[in-house]
Amino acid sequence: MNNISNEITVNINGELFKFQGNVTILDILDKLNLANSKGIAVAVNMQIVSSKDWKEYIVSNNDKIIIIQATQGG
Amino acid sequence: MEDKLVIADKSFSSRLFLGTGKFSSGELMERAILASGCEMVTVALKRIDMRGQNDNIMQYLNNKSLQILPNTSGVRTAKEAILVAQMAREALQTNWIKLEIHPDPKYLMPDHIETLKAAEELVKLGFVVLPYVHADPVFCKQLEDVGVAAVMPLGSFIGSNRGLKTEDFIKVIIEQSNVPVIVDAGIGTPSHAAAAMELGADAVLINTAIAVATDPVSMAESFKLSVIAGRKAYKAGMSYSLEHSMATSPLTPFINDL
Repeated sequence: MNNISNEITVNINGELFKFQGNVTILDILDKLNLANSKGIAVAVNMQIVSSKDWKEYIVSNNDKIIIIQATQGG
Repeated sequence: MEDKLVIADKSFSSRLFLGTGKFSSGELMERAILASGCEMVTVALKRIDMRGQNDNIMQYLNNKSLQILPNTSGVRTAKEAILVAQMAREALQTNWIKLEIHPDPKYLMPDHIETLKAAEELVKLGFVVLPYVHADPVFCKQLEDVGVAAVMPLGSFIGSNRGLKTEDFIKVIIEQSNVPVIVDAGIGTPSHAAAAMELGADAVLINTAIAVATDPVSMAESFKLSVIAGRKAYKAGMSYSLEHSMATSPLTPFINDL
């Protein structure tokens, strides 16, 4: 049952996702086809994570991740 | 001499700013922005839809001379506003932020306690802060004291098109303010915009009145002209207002003297 201990659950924009092993923010964006999106920003547990840190930042079990982009508004 | 509006380190030739909400398409929004001659537009932020339905508004706003003003709409507290401002800075590469904290969804009334807390902190973090506020002259001075770049008092309810219901208080804000005053919210017609400019407002922000018009492009141009007219009238020095007539032609008695 090694791989179970290795599994983490994170909340991304209100939905739960499961990942195996050490996963960086860039890995997550890649899996969500957002790695090359322009104009997005990421926060983990209410702290902004700058895009230059996405490659190194490893998420933890139960992290709350918010990914935002610009939309129409006044 | 050109009549430029300076906010923080940026100068604007146009005193009309546009919101990007409610346009039926990105193309229409882009054309309306062009017709309006505006040099700053607001955008909102939203969580990315994990199911893949994500519009890309920025493709219609790629004119380099256009200042993007992200807003904090949707936040309920100063803490949330600060996070959203930081995310906006990261996503859009601008330190300009329209600070709006209105927890009540029906009237969208700004929460001044949270707004002041957030404004103070955001200024310290290096943001150019433009707060959306009630037309409250005392509060506008308090915001000025913490270092906001402009104040954005409401004319009436957001999206209501009811015009300058707060006119008396806007006048006081304009009289007292050392930062630009941008009348935001409720301006529904070009004549409302002209009236705000005649009072001496530095600029107006329009969204619904243009976006929801039958012809948003033509309406954008109408607002452009009205803002120019209102500003010119203000600069020209308005004539007086009387409760009785004062003849503009000589009242020569013709008949009785014959």
